[in-house]
Order: sequence, then C-alpha cells, then structure tokens
Amino acid sequence: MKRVVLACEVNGARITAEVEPRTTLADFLRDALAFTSVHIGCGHGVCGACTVLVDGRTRRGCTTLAASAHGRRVETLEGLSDASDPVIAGLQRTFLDHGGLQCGFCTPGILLAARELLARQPAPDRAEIREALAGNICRCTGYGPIVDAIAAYVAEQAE
Amino acid sequence: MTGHPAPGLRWRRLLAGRGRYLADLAVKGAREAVFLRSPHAHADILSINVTAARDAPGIDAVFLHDDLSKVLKPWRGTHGLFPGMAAPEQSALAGKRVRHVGEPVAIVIGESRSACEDALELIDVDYEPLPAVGDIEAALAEDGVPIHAEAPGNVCLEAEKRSAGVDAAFAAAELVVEAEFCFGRHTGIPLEPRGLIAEYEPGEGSLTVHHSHQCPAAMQEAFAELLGLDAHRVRIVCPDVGGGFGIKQQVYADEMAVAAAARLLARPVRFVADRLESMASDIQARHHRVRGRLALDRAGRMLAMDADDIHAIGPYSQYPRSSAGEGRAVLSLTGAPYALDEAAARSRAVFTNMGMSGHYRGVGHPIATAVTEGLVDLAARQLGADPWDLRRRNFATYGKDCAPSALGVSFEHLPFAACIDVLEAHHPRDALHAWRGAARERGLLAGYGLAVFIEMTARGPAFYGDGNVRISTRDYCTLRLEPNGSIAGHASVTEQGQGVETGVAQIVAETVGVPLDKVRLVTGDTDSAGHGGGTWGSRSLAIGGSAGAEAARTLRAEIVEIAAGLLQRVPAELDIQDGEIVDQNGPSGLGLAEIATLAHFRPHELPGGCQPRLVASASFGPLDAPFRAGCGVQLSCVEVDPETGLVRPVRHAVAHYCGLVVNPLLVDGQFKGGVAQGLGAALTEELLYDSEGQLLTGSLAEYRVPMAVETPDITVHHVHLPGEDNPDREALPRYAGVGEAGTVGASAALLNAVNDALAPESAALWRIPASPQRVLAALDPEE
Amino acid sequence: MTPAPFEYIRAETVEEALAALAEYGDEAAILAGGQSLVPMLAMRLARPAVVIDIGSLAGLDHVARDDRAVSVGALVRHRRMELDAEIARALPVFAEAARFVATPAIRNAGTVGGALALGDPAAEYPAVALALEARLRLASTRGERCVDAADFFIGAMETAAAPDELLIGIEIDAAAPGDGFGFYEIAERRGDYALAGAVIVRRAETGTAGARVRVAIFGAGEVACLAEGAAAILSDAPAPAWDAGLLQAVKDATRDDLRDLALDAFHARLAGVAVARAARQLAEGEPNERRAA
Repeated sequence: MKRVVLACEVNGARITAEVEPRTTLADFLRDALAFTSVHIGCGHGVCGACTVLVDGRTRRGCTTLAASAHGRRVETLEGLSDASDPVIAGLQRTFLDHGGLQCGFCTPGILLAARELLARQPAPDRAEIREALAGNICRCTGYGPIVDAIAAYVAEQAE
Repeated sequence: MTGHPAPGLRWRRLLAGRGRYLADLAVKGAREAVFLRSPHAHADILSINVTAARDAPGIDAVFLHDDLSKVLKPWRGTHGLFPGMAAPEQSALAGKRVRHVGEPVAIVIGESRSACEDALELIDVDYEPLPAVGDIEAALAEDGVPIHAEAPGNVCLEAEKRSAGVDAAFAAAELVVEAEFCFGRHTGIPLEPRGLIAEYEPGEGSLTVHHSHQCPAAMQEAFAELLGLDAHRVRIVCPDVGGGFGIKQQVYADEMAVAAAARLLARPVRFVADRLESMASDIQARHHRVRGRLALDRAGRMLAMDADDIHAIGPYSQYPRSSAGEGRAVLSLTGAPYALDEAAARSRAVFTNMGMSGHYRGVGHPIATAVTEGLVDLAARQLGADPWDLRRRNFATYGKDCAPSALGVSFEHLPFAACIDVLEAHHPRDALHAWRGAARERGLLAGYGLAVFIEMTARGPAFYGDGNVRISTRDYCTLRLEPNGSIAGHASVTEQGQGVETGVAQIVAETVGVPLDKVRLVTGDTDSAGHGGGTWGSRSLAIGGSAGAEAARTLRAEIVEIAAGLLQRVPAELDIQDGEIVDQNGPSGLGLAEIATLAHFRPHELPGGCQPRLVASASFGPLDAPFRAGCGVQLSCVEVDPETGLVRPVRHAVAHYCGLVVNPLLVDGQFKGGVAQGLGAALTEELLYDSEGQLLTGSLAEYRVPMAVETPDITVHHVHLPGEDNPDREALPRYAGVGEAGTVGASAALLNAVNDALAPESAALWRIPASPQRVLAALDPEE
Repeated sequence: MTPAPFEYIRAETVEEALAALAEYGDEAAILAGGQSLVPMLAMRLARPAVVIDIGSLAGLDHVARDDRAVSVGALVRHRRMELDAEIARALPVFAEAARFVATPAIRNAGTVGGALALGDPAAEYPAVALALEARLRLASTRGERCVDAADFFIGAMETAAAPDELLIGIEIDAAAPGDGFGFYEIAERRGDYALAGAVIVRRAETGTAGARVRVAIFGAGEVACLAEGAAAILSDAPAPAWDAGLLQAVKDATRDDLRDLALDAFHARLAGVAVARAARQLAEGEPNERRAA
C-alpha cells in the first residue's frame, strides 16, 4: 500500500505528511496531529462527534479520507477555541449557562454545526437550530438545553 | 451554592475540545487489541487456525480461550439471594461454543488497530452452527433448544410475589382490564464507546487500568478476583467518560481479555470498541413481554394488580451483579403508586442467543411503570373516567406508620398528589383538551398521556451485600485544607457527564463555607478515592454527597477550632462564610488562607500546641434503608399521522420530587436526557434479532436514537416539601437520586399518549417502539 | 473499523480519472464526496483495490443553463443543489429534494454524481432524475454517451454504467411556465433513508391546455421507479380537480403500480400516501415546511 502525500492547512498551520490511503481525516487529525477534539463516536458517518470544518463547511472526519483533504483548509474546535473565534467563544459561554453539554463527547461537533448555521443564518429560530443539529447525536442532554444555549447566543447578538 | 444552578466543573474544558477520554490518553508503548467475534448466534467451534494471523505484519500475539485461561478465571453471575438462579460459567473468550453474535473468540494484539484488523481476516475458524434461540417464544418453546445443559428450559430466574387475596380480588371485581405489553430490546449508546488501557507490572504484581467506566472500585474487585491479583495492587483510573447510562457499569468479557493479554505480554494493551462491536457487545436491556391486569370497582377504586413478565436476557447471567435486577423492579414497582388491596407479580428471565443483557438506565422501572400506567389508562377509558382524576383518587399513602405496598415494599412518604397538582397547574387539562381537539380537527390523531413513576435510588447493602455480590453501596470523601486556603480532595463518586462531581463540590463548598471555585475534587481513581460504589442506580449524589457533607463538616470544625484559638474566641461563636471567619458582627479579618499558611508552615505558632490535622475523611452508605425513593408524574403529548403511522412527540413535561435539589441545572439535565432516552425507546430504538439470532440493527444507522429535530422540548418542574428547603446544617441532608427518573416514566407517558390518540379510532397499541408499521397495524388490523 | 488496504489515485482531470478507470475497471471505486463509499470501506463491505479520488478535480462542479436545459456537473454538492439560485429557478424539485438528503455535514460533502451513480433505492435523487427525465452523461476512454434516467437505474445499487464509465453530469429540461412539482418523503427521523417518498413533475404541454405528469417513487422498493398508473390519473385531470376522491384513486393506483416492486405492503401503502401528498402539494402550491439547516 503506497503512502500518499497530503499537504493541507490545519488550524492555521501548513501541514505536509505522508499517510496510508485508508487513513481517515479523523484518525489523521487525532493520531498524527493530536487534535483530539475530533471524537470517534460511530466511525460510519452517523453521530457527528468527529465533525470538523473543511474549507469552512462542516464535514464528517470519519467519512473523509485524509488524502482527500489535500489542498484544503481544515479546522477543528481546538483551532477556534480560546477566544480565537468570537462565535465559538459566545457559544461556549451560553452552553455553560444553559447546560448545553454533559459528558462533552458530542460537544465539539455540536459547536461546529452551530457555527456553520450562524454563519449562514445569524438569527435562526428553534426549529432551524434543531435542523442544523440533525446530524449530531447527543445522548445526554435531550437536545433542549443545546437549543436553549444557541438561542440564547442568538438573542444576545440581537440586543 | 446548593439549590442554585452551577455549570459542571469540567464543562469549560470540554467546551474547548480539551476533554481527555480513554482514546485520547497517550501511554508509551501501548499495543492495540481487536477481537475476532462470532458471526453465529449459536455454534460449536470445531477448530481455529491462527498461524497466519500470528505471522502477520505488526502483530504481537493472538490469544484464544486456552491461552487466557492460564491467567484468567471464568466466572458465574450468581446472586446469594437467588440460589435457584441458573448462572452458567462464562469466559472471556469462547472456548468450545459461541452463544451470541459478537461473542469474542480471539484477541489480536498488535501495533495498530488497522494491522490487527488486517490480521483478523487471516484467522480461520471452523464453526458447526446450532439452532439458535432468537426470541422469547423460542426460549420457552416445548421443543426449544437449551442454551446450557444446566438450564434445560432456558429459564435463568423465576421470581414471584403474590399477596394472599389476589385471586379472590380479581374474581370478585366489577371491572378487570388487561393487556399484553411488549417492550423492545434497547441499549444505552454512550457516545464514547467502551475502552480501556491495561498495564501489568510483573515486578509488583500490580495492574493499572485506565478505564472508561462508571464503577472503578467494582472493576478493581473484578480484575483482582478473576486475574488472581491482590485487589490493593489493582488500580483503576477513569478519565473523562463520554456517557455511561449503565452500559459502562458492567464487567465485559472483552475487557477481561484485554487485562489478561496485558498480563501475558507484560505490555500496556489498549482496546477501544468501535461502534459495530458496541452494537453487538454492549449491554442490552428491556425486552419484556408482560401480561398485566387491573381490577377496580365501578366507582373507580383500584383493587388489585397482577403482572406476569417474561424477559429475554442474553446467554449468561451478568457477572457480578447477576440478571436479577430487571425482574426485581417489576416485582417491586408494579402498581406501587396506588393504594391496592392485593397484588401479584411474577418475572421470568430467559436465556437467549442474543447479546448480553444487564443494567441500562432505569433497570426494569420503565417496564413496571408502563404496565401500571397503561392499565390505569385502559381502566379510565373503560370507566369513562378522567385519567387525572382516576390517578388522584387512588394514590397510595406511604411513610412512617403507613402500610407497605400491596407487593410488600415499604416506601417513605412520596408526594404523588403534589406532583400531579404541579404538573396540572403548568399544563391545565382544559388547555390539553383544546390542543387535542384542534389537532384532531386538522385530521391528525392527537393525544396526551400521563405516567406516575417511582424511582428507587441510592440503594443500601440489602441487595448486593446480602447476596454476596461485592458491589459497594458506600461512598468516600477526603478533604484537605490546602496552603492557599482552598479545599482539595478525593471522592469516590464518578463522573460521566451527569455532574455529580460538581454536586458534591457544591455540598462541600457550602458546608465548609467557601466559594465553589475554592474546591477541587479528584474522582475516578481507586488509589485515592476509597472503595465507593461509583455510578449506578441513581445513587452517587445521594450517597457521595452525604459523604462529602460529613467530611466537610469535620474539616470545617477543625478550621473553626483553629480560628477560635487564634481569635481567642469559642468555636460556637464563629462561622466560615465565603472563605472568611465571621462572627455575629461580621468578618473577623481572618481568612482561610491565613489559617492555612499558619497551619502548614508555622504550625508551632498555633495556640494550644496541638497537631493540626487539616484533613478529614468520611464514608457514608445507607445501613438499613433499602433505597431512597423519588417520584413524579410525566406528561407526553403526541400527534399521530393516521396515514403514515408516524408518531410525533410535541411536548413532554415532568413534575418530580427528589428531596433537596442541590443543582437545578444538573437535575434538569438528568431529567431531560433521561426522558429523551425513554422517548427513543418508545419511538425508534430497537435492537432487532432474527429467529437465527442474527443482529439486524448492527449500526447507528439502524439502531435509531432520538435526534434534535424529533425530540420535543422537555420541561421539568421541581416539587418541594415544606420544611425541606432549609435543612438542619448539623443533620445529614436528604437527597434522592434523579439519574434514571426521566427514563423511568417517559416511555409509559408516550405510550399512553399514543393510545389516547388512537382511542377515537377504537385502536390500541401496547408495544414499544411504536413504529409506523405497528401504529398502522393497530389502526387497520385488516391490512 | 478500518478499511482494508487499497491504492489511492488522486485524479486531477477527468482524463486522468477515465484512464485509471480504464486500467482498473471493477477493481476500482470512484471517491467523490465519500459519504457512502467511506463507511462501506470502513466496514470492509467495499474492498476495491484502487480508490480513484475525483473529489478535487476541476471541471465537474458546474451548474449551467442554456435556453432549454440545465446541465449539472457530477461534483456539485447536495448543499449547492439545495441553496443555488439557478437550481431553485430551473429545477426547483431538485432543490427541494436536496434538502432531504441525509444531514447537513453530509450534504456539504456528498455529490450529485455520487448519489446518482450509487443507485440507492432509498435515496432521493434517482427518483428525481426519473421524474425529471434527466439524461445522465457517462464518459470513458471509449467516448461519451447519454443515458436516460429510465434506463439507468436497474436494481438496488445497480446502474447501467459500465465498470470503466464515470458519471460526469446530468442534463435536465428546465422548468417552464405552467410546470409544477411535488415532493414528499416519509421518514422516521430527519435524514433517515425514506420509508417511502414520491416525486411528481408536471410538465405543461406547449400549445395545449394539457400536461404530462410523471410520478417517481423511492424508498419503497428495490429500485427507484415510475408509478405509471398514478401518473396517468394525474395527467388526465387538471391539477385543480385533484380532490380527495382523485387522490384516493392515486393512492390505490400507486399500490397497484408497485405490486411487484415494493418491499412489502407497508412500503407500498406509504408510497401511495407519499404520492397523494406530493400531488396535493403540487395542486396547492404548498411546499414542505421550510428549514434552514
């Protein structure tokens, strides 16, 4: 199995690596680059815990081959945390206040899905928020507190 | 402080993506393990050839049953209170016979998961398939296949409770309603799959296991017992755990095999289940068929209830807790919210060639609740009574000097009436009727359902302890006054997201008298925490919180005593508030930081010349109380599409009582998440096996959990009893657990709502999940 | 869950992709968005010797329109089908269907070509292509050909494409004044594969008052298919006359149409419901509830 050269941008840094073709983007980000916010919940594209941004759009890390990220811009929650992204920072605050997480395993994927929604639709209603989360399993919260947290952020922005 | 919302102490870190779950831990030199699992539900293993796999690139070892038996004992899931229970021997890897799809047959250890998976394909197993038991009926069939020679009828355990006059009560009753209820097979789906890293140190005879688990102390016992190690040389460490729900409360064959392999290789071995393995090998639960009857008089007084339950466990009794739990709840809780003269309940657990079954959030409670509440609604419909009123007039009165339930269970005072009053105040009957009428006008079938529930939490030692099962019902807490005046320590509660660590820290902070951010608790490490029960049975805040309160009270007393010496006052005149020593006139000017500095670095300056201890420990567990109960009422509103059979839950509400609420944000979170799991069980979740025992729902695309779009908003109303909000600071506070209460009542309420919706069509459905196919079949039995 | 080993070819141009396909044929799998292929690789249900990644090659991600038809490149993502203004004008039923494909992150990755080439009977696009009489453009080193949708979907996960052929795009006649559509999907959760779904396209016949209606079904059978009997009833009556009685007849006709094709009576029944609801939508001009995701 010939290894493949992969050159891409990850969380702002230029990366060049050789990967096995079968390596998924999620495994590459976790194992080669230690971006462990990319969680493997199902490995078959259902749960959304491995969500990352590729060229600014949400993607499943587990159903994307690392080799396919060649030439692309990849972001994980690590790259958007610590106040580097105002939307993520605001969501992190409202998630804290509203109990928008419990075990935290789905949380990185949920935050990135919410950010994508807010980039396109800054004032979504609750139904639209739920639609945007349609591909993310949270087994702890029952989703309501997550919707509350995103809605609270939206309300703050409207003030 | 307690009674007020506070975010989970780990949440800031988790929100930044800096959780450290099992798969994120770096252990130098750790090897990966994968399993060859049986593709057959029931088969003899004629031969296994692993030569090619052992020679494959990157592979260290391939172990089979006989390799592991050198260091690992087999086990039986016995329980001393049920000597008649069949508990056949189980081993980590199948030896001569496999008994469910997904049962581990070989463990492959190598440099990477991918290398091991490549090697799996080189293992050649010659199976001789046997007829399989793929459902409840097949297990009990006259000519059924016995899964174990020692249990020829496939019955693991039969238990029964029957009050003396129950048959007479049914015979004489003016009205008897009855139905057969079917409950699908479910599992918990913690989003982080199971996993562990086992490291064995032969020089010390010690085993360290980093484990995504709820009960590290129980695992310390299990690893020590089965690997023949000294328990005090076995250390279990739980990192961040991505959900548990009972699924990570268990002993797993594959996890035992990992520890045995680590011992044989003397190298760290890591195993993280992938989701396909989880679906076949995670603990499964429910899967009951219950025939229920309720007798009433024409005036609507409930007289007697009877439940006959059969449930399908897997091919073994679950070790070490046994498979008695599901049935026990049915035997304890059937009819329990109501004042019945007589009651009977029988429960049979039967072996099948399906996945291992055990404890998932609720453990039998949801079954008893759905049967009881379904029968109550059935009776209301037959009597033309209102479901609110019929419940109200029949609530049982429990508490001191009150009789036990008709099934003989003694409960503390449970405010059913207060709960249903609060629920109805927030969701008035008239408004519900108006909503239902309007939806019916639009051509939908709409309905609402109620479910009264009891949750038995915080169990004492009367079940496991008396049954010689080494599961602790106690918890520990050790607290230190640190040099900077903060409180640090260890607690034996464990955290999987529910927030108990935060709750205990809140209790400690309040009891000592410091802000919450001055408390830091480390949990999940058996080396420091003490042999506590961990997370199961909605116990950890109620019990671990009490241990925390006790330790905090002792530490506070010492701090006050030191302060009194320094201030030349008597301790009774002093208090600690917000980290400062205060008296009746306000702050004394002396803070915990100053006291701690003195005590740690210049202790000789303390008055009296005594040794400061600066550390306090406590352990706590119920002694004679079998459990602490909470209760409540749930309301579910659904719309049913009569043409497609799709059920849409549009609203869900809970009014509950759980004693003191330490942190309403976390309590609400437990209810909402628990309700969502109950709704999933009632609507879309089901592990389906065919008659050959093949799993048909082997991925998350097929086992369908609730998602954001389909889950309604869930509201939670807390019910308080007068006098409980201001507890005596010197007495141990009264907490009941809430971890399972949402799940316990949600399926029942939803099923009742579906039947309310179907009633105008003279249709009924007593089976969950209420799939479109089943709803259409109920509406149109001719089709 | 890691894929079995395979060789990887990153095709930069269509020609490179076709050359690789010519060399490896059915040993090769085409990777576009990867949303179906990668899970199948991970479960080792697909075991190609070679994966040809066309996800980044240039030239197949166009949406172009001439005076009659719209041409959509195979690499256009579902997300763009859902949101693109030109698609909304010229192929509104396609835009509507795209909203129902899986969930948001999958729509960001998955492609029109991938969804069609897979031939999944439970997926939306094959039925949309059937109802719209799409022409699928297949290319190989042997040349290019156009296949009508009606001839393309042969069975479950089975199409008329030869092992060395690549689906490079589709062409569809653009909507004209007087055309209409209905789309209805029955699924238990958003993004689940449909229990049944229906696509109805009504094309006004130029110069007459009549219209031609095509009804396509997905999810209910082994392959996406046309419901000719239901379509005939809807073609014979002007949309305003689609009353409850006619819709009941459409339901019954759909079940007849599917007699040999449906998975079972339950799915056939739901297909009838989906067709009737899609027809009502078309008649009343009421689309599905909007959503932002």
